[in-house]
Amino acid sequence: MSEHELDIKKILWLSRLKATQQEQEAFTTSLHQILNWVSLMEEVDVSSVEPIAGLIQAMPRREDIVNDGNIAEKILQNAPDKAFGMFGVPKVVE
Amino acid sequence: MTDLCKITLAKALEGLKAKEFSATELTKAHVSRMEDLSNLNAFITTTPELALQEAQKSDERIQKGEALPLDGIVIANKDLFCTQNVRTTAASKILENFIPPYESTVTQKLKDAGTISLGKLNLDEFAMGSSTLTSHFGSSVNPWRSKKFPDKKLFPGGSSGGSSAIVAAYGALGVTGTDTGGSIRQPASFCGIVGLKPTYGRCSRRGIVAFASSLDQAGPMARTVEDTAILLKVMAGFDPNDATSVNMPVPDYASVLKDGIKGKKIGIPKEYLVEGLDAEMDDFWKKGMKWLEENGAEIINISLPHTKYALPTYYILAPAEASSNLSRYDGVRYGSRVEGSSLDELYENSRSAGFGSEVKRRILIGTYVLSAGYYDAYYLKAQKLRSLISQDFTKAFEKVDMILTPTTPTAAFAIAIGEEPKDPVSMYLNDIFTVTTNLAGLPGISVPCGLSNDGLPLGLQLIGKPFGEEDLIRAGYVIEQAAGFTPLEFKEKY
Amino acid sequence: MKYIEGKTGPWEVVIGLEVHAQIISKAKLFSGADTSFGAEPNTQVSFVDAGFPGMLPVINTFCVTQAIKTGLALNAKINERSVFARKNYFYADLPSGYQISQFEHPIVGLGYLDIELENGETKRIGITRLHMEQDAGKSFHDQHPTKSYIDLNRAGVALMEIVSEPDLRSSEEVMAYLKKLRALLRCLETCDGNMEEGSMRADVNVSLRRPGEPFGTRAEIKNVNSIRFAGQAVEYEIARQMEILEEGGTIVQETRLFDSAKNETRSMRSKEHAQDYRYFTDPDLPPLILTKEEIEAVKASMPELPDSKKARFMSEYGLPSYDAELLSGEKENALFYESAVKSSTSKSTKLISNWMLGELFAVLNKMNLALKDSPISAENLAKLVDLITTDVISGKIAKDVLLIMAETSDDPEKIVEEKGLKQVTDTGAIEKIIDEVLSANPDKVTEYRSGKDKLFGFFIGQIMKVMSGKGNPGMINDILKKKLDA
Repeated sequence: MSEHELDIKKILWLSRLKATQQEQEAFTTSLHQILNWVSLMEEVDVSSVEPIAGLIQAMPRREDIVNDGNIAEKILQNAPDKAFGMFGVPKVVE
Repeated sequence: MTDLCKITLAKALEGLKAKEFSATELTKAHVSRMEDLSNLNAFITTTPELALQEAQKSDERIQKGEALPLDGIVIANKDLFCTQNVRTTAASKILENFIPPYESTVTQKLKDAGTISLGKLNLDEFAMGSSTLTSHFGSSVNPWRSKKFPDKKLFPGGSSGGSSAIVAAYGALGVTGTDTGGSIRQPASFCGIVGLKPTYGRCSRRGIVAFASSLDQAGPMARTVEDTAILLKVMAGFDPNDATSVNMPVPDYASVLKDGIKGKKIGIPKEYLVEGLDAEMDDFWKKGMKWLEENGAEIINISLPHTKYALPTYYILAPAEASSNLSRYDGVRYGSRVEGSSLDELYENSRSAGFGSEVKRRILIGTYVLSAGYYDAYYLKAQKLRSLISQDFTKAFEKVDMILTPTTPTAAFAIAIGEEPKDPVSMYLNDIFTVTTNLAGLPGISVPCGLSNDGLPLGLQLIGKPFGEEDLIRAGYVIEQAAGFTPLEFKEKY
Repeated sequence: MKYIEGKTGPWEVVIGLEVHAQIISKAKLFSGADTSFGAEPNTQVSFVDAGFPGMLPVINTFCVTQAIKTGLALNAKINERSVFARKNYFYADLPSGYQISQFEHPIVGLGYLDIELENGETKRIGITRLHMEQDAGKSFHDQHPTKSYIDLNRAGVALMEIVSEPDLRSSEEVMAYLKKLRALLRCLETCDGNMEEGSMRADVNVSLRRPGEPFGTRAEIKNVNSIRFAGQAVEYEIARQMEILEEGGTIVQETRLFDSAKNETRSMRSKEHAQDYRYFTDPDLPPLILTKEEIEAVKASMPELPDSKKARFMSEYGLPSYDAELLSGEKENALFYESAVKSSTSKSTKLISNWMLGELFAVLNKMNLALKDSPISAENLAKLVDLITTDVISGKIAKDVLLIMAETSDDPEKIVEEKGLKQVTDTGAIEKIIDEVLSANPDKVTEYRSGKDKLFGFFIGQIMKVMSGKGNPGMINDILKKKLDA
């Protein structure tokens, strides 16, 4: 994995970020640095290890009660573009 | 009036109770101090009028004998906590105008206890950094100066750098921070104050702008262990609106402060003796062992064999979660927006203009390690390493009650503001002793232990068992007393 | 196994379905906001649903119960540990930039659903999994020439995605599967099954292969919102794919939409960039742990399911399979039928079924009413049938009474009484009328007796006419026969 394939354009697209050619090169360089550094992990055999995502407890649940909502004004108050009680975006073609 | 800023939170509480001074007097002193300290750039948003209004309410309650537990105590909050009707930016341009219509659980608890907030403290953008360098609002400044280069401004550490700077400089009695990989403990150590990262799930994450959800945890920062303990009691507790918060009773942490550590077993992990560990830091570590031993603890050598993989693990998992957590900043419902001719262009324009380069770098690395073809090699592998790192601690805690380590390998970044390295990895290395506790979900405290030859503060870290915060407070107090640390000299300005 | 004969040989159709069913619950899957339809935009939205910073999901326990219930009804394995994952993609109606779903560890594993085909056969369709996920918001495009507007009222409403094995082989099977699944969900009250309102929709995966060959490349027809459309879309897709394959072409793996106006499927404008959903465990949600006790408690609360109800209707009421199927398939039907049987004194179970499925349904159909809005109650239908079996009225009169009942909702006994529709069962009176009719038609009597049997019907008609239809047909028949043969 020392030669990390890195399709920077695809990663940028998936992240919805854009970058100039120069920025792309800079990102590629620093991403390579990071990937080279983390490749230290390769030396550990983890084939028999269960992954964990965090400290695990049983998940608490909520009752099926309507106790939220009816705050459209607050939901919309920070929106840069709003009309008709909704959020405005450039036309979405389906 | 500045005398009111010098006292500890515990003393302030006594003084308010004894009506030696009023909440309004205490608040006024801090409001004026806040202005004096403006060149530390510790605040992103200040709310002095609000603070004074609240102080008046505190005084009324105190007068009526209805004082709340922390009535009149002047604090400030890291600008990662959403505060109702007070701008919350996460130090990012993308949230520079965001006014939350809700309050985070932790800051609500602090309000409900009667505390008064001066405003919102600077941090690295979205808490991604260890210096405040990545803040859209500029770096904060460490009030400490090195003897060698007294003219150079130093970083206060990060990400909770505004928090550590303002507390060290006597600008607030205590503050909130958040810690994802060391963001409370490292700046606390760099500024010569106490910082405590509780067990994951001890404080609610609801209303804290998420960086890496499985690692983020709120905690207090203050000038003494006792003050930290007092704040933690109020901040901690189960929140039915956070499925990862833990339903366990909250102890009165300050009440165990002086219980001592007789018979406690303290582990010293050999793997923390890393290359790059300052010789003076190493000396203080040994001193720390001696102090604890002298107070009746037993020092035991332990091994945490997967320590060296902690940083790479962290720098995969945290960006992976962050890349997803930060997808919501798209310029549609809140936050800054740069128009585009299509929806995707709107997203790209808003996000590209709204995020700084370190945040972008972490989004990109996180996206990469989760993407098809790389998930197993990076994300899944890191999750498995996280298991191993966590298991290391579980095994160690079969033998010991706490673990003593340095908080950071060096004193306050020997790096001056403006001289930071371009290579991201060299900045990441700063988190080497702190990330392990986040990965394992364990509590950790940083207590100042002394000054380097260059006159900069150093901190020792104690790591506890899950929900072992009381142990940390007892042992932290022992170190605090034994070290006899000389706090920052009180000055009008720094 | 049925094959379709093409120009170049036989083809086997392979279809799998992914059904998205909105879970019936008061509040959303991860927030306390209301789920009901038709509210003002963004009024049923919490900060969690709108993806505000720091807002965290907490699961609605009733939605979990609903998923378990549905899984049990699909004869499926309920996983005691399941995990929520984030499916990451950017879209206008997806506020957080990810959908909380279940990926590697769904709440429900392998199961099956038996479907009935037109030829009377039963076919077992495998269920791969059922998982829970959030619905998205809605975009509106008509308010502005260059803008769309987003309403998040639906965002975060709980869905179940029910994935079948690729076991379906024809449009008929697809429709039977959807009908059966919908009836099941309705019976369980876990989903209302209203496809027009979008609370149940299907993604249909269709491919063709030569018999015995591995699976061919499939096309996915997204968001089909009626059972009929699903059938039509499959038919169209089979024809389209067969044409391409027979001409030596290859099928492109793609997402298609069904255009019901044109009765065709068409490719969705292929995206410039490939998707990569980057699923990973949602760090805001610990694993969902179910105890055996919890699963058992749901099991104990299960209603009788259509299949066992059908079997019971056949054994308990002696109904033929066809009647039992129709009566047990829809919850309302079963309820109506059983309350009619319960209140009936004659317990003519088959006759009640006949009258319900025949005359009553025809009347309701004509009035454009659903069974639940029927003006004729189950009790009154039972009374009507009782009037027939006790010879108070004839079946023919009963049809007229039913029409009056449909208009007035009256008790049939009252109608019969008031309108004087009771059958004449007095032998003397019937004989008297028969004698009159016979003596009025002496030549016809002669013709009949000389072998023109068909005239029997003529006499019946004449007698009934005189009696205004109220004569007991059996008695008239017997007496007339006796008199003519005498």
